[in-house]
Amino acid sequence: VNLRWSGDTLLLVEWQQTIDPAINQHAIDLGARLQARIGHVVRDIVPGYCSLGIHIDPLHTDLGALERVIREEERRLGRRETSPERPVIELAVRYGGEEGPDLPALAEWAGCSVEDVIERHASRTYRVYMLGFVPGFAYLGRVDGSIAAPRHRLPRERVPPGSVGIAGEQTGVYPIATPGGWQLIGRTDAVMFDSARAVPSLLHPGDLVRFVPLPRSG
Amino acid sequence: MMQGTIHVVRPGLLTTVQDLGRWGHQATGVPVAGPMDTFSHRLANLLVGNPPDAATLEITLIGPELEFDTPAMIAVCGAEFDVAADGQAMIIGASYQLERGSRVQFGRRHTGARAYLAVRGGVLTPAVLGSRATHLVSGMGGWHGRALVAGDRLPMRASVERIAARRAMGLTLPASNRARLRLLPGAQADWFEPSALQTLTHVSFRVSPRSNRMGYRLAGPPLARKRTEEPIFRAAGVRGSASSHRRGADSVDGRSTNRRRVSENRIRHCRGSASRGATRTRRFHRVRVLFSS
Repeated sequence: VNLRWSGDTLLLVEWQQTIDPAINQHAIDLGARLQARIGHVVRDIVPGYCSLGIHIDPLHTDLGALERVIREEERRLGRRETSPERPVIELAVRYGGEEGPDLPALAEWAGCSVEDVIERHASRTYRVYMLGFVPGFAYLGRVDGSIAAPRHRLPRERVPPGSVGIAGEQTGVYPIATPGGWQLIGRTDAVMFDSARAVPSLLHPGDLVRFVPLPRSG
Repeated sequence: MMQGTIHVVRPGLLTTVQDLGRWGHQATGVPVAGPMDTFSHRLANLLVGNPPDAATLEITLIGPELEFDTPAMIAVCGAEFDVAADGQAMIIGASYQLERGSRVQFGRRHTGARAYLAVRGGVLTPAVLGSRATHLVSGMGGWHGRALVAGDRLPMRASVERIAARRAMGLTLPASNRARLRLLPGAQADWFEPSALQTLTHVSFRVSPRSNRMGYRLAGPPLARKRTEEPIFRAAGVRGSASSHRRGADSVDGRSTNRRRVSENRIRHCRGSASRGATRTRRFHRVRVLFSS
């Protein structure tokens, strides 16, 4: 494990730079342990793919003690791939049509039929590696390499909420209307984030997700 | 406690409610938001006797006209605007006791981009996830998640007890058209050639008009890279990061969040001075890391 300061307010705990469920879970687990132990004295604890960010106020933090606590908790962690008792969260998706405008071109890019793309996207269970960008936006992986098309060179100015997209080996759902460059293949009615709910975000780091194709009407 | 109301007669260009930010929810993608110029926000609060995290109004380039329906104590800090309360000129960086029905008008802006209006007791719009800060992209916090419009009526605490007016002597930072930003090496500093830091600290960068609360786009010479691939691994980001994008546009992120591509050079800078001067140049200035462990 590597500790690295980014400026004077963010300490990054970094592991091997790779997309690996075990490493990601390690980051999430360390985040949970640190939240329980020092959550009240730091500003925020933020898991990444293979890192954990700890935001602090440098004028109110004993930096040496912070680093010691992190190393201590890190050493105590076991290695595992998923959080216990995580059910698979299902997201019903209408693929293609106006709601998935990039689906035909993506099928062409992949050299397969539209149905094949849907099948490949919906047949996997994805892991929530992290959230970011806007509230409730989860980075899910990994997408079948054959349909892992790169993001658009020029982002769309407005991607409607609920849009399901692919960007390389990542897939995800836009919770709100924002600009976005991902390949849009469908849409879900699931409410990804609602600050009025007891648990605002539908997805959390380490969750497991499946996309369920809905039959298209007409 | 007596409730008061700030009536928005004219909203100005982009006036939002801000406090010190929505911390503690970045793991579910919630951006921190908060003032672009934390120093002036805090100073305005200090002048009216508020804690630093009380919500203020962040005023951008063109100021509003506001009416207070109860007595109120206010202070404006940051960008130098002509401001008048019922026709009487107000000083930036000083607190004033207003009578009921007072009208505060922002006029011409002389220097800087953003000013902060604090009212004693704070702007009391509903807190969302523990914060009143407005995040415009996600429509969260502040007043209905958006910039103020004419006719809005913001709840505030009426201040009936009189406290002595205060003035910030020599505390306001110079807001010239040239800002010096202090920086520390970021998490990806080693992705760049040493010459990149030289460039960053020896050349002035111009703030592009394509800048917003999410980030300043800076035009200047390219920063030489050691590693050219685009890293895919997102990680937590820090507000005030200087980022170098492959597309050539360098930027200073005014906002935090973990959304950032990690292709960048992460450098914290003195964000306040970036906000005060809006439209001219930025010069980076390297400082030493003062950490000890």
